[in-house]
Amino acid sequence: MPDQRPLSRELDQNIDMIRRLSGGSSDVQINRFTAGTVNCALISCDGMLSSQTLAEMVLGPLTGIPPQNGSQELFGYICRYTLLSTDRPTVTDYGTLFRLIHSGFAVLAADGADTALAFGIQGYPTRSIQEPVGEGNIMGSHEGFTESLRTNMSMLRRRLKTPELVMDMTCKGSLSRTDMCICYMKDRVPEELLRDIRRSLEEMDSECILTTGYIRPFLERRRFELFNTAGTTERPDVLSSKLAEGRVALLTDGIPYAITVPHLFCESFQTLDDYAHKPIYATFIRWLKYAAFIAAILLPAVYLAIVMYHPELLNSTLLVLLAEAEREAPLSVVTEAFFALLMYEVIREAGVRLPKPTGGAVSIISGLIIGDAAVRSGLISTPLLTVTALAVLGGMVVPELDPQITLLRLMFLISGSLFGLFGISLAACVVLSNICATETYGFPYTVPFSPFVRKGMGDSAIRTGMRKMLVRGFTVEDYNEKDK
Amino acid sequence: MKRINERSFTALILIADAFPLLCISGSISLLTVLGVLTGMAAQTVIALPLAGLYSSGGTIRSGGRLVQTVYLLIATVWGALLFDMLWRTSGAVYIPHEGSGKYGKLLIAGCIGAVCLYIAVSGLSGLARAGAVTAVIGGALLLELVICGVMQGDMQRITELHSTGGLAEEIYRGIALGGGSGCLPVLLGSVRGAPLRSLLRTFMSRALFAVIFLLSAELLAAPVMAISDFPAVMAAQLSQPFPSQRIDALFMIVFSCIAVYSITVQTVTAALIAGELIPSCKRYAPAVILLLMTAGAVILEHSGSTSPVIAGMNIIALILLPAAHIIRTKMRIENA
Repeated sequence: MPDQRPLSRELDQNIDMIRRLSGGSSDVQINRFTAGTVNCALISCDGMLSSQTLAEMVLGPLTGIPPQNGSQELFGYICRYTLLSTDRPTVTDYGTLFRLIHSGFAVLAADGADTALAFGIQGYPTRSIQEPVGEGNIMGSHEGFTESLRTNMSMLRRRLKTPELVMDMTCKGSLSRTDMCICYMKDRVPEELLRDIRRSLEEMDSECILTTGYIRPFLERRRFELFNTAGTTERPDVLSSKLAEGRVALLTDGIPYAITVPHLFCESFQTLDDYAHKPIYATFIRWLKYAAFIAAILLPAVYLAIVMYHPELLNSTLLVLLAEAEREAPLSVVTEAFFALLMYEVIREAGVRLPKPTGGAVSIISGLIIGDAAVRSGLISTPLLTVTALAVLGGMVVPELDPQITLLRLMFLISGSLFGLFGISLAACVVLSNICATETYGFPYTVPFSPFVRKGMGDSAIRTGMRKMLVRGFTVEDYNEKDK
Repeated sequence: MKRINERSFTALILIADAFPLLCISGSISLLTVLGVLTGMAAQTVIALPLAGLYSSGGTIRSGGRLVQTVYLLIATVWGALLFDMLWRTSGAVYIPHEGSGKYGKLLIAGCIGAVCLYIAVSGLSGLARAGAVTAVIGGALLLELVICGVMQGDMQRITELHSTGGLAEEIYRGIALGGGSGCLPVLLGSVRGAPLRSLLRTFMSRALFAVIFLLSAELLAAPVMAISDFPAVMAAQLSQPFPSQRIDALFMIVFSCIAVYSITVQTVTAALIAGELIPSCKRYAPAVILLLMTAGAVILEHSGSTSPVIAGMNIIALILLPAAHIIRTKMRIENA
């Protein structure tokens, strides 16, 4: 909990207290000087602010202030005649003082004043705006969010220059004191959604907020849900479109992703490029993605089920081909399938975690050496490897759902190997039920497919023309089932 | 209680109807279709007071605890009947491990029961949404049957087939095929929107679905109707639109999904009433009901033709709630 003790009127006492509370931390800097004949101290955190701005914009003007009668008059003069910085909150307690200096503010304390003035002159090093790595795009903007909350807010504001866009700052994490920003369009957001999200955030009692995974569980229900009902994006343009549809977004300092609520199943199949192409092509691509998603989950399981339990489904040519391939393999088809899939997961994980130069070597070793050798030595049959590769490739078409696809693929593989197509059907019922029962703040995850909302079909099953899309006046409120 | 929309309600009732239709035994003729149509028309008329009751703000509680218990019993019996149908048809659709005797049957029931339990615990709204998706998949199978029936079937043979029984018997059979009639009075109370419109839409959809399905099955299975135990299953297996590629897989998947969802509809219906009757056992109600259904299926396994009994049960289900409500209201007025 932040220290709520008020500042003292004695400057020496304040400085002692700051030193004691910070434990003598080397990065907390206290510079004593005289401004307008009043004894002052400028408290800051090394590395969090720009030294040049501090010298030019704060120290320079402060030391040039004419003589003043006490601290109250000095602060009055500063407020009336000097600007120093645009972001200038007043500090009354030690908790606020530490939060501000740790966020890149310089705090001016004066002898005889039980308040202090803070100046926002943040100047810590941040990553520059770069192209997002996880959300590829050809024809749209190439800017992605960075770790700096202010930069992300400015990127969003540049795209939505309207007073309807509200950015509401808050602070979470008892240790990290992370700045968060709730963003929404005040004329479009469902009021109840906003109220519920605020309540969820109030209930959040994390010590630190280091990734989106620290926040998302508090925005989702507690029951077991396979799919995420809080989405993420690292693109300011995508976030702008979601806000325009009445969603709520959370920007967090130190995390280059925005969290959006509610998140629906169909959103995982939408990309910004869909809106850059002709509707017919965009619709084709969208259906291709749905098909790839289903293939990524079901292909190895269906292959196993047909080969083991339902060979009558194969035509004679294919049956002979598969029978010959499997006859030469030393392992059972089930073992082969699990081996191939688990090996892929191991290789993928190695490629992701290793440094980039070594990561490239992993793909060469896995693709050329292991893959080729496994087939040549007859360890894995070629048809099975082809099916596995196609399934893996299908999963890459919908990267957002990759964790779910990986787990579901294994689940269907187990059910297919135990009970054939009957097992796959039962597993499909379980998944369908889970996905259909998933909802967040009254928004069903599977809307607009089930429950069917005709208005939503124009940007889910198909992609209608931009003129039609713009006149339909759609907001996410159309999907709300709460209290209906 | 969470409420469901009209489309989802219709989908749930259609799914509850679909499995008995898929498992239909005995020959199908034009008289069967006529029997189903007449039965559906009769059920629609009988169910009208039910719509009136819900329109005037009535609930399932309006009939009293005894009536609720009867509905609980009907849903459980229907669940048992569906398990029995599943066991009888599992050989015809080649469910793996089906041939392992009692062990195989219990394994199938266990798997289906576990999945049903999971879905039932997820709640009515989740079931309704999933049911609507399953209904669309079922619609795809129906479309495939219709296309193959028209392309491969011999239209003249439809009129040549004769039913083994008379019209009265076919009407009983038609009413008995309505798996959704038992749960309809309970689920209608959870629908958002006008009860009468929902009811009429549902009955029209049921009639249309049953007629199209039976006619397609008749067209496809007409040559082997006499020697086929399950003509609808046989029709689905005979409908092969591609010359070099069998598509039985589609039927197998749809069969299993509809089996799961039709049993779950009955389970959820029974669990809803059980929750109303004994709120403390709400959490365990689906599991207990599924066990009762499986036990009931074992008892029903060796029973003979039960069409008139099931038809009677469906009629009672449709008429009981409004009748009980009227009697209770009259008694209350008299007592006052």
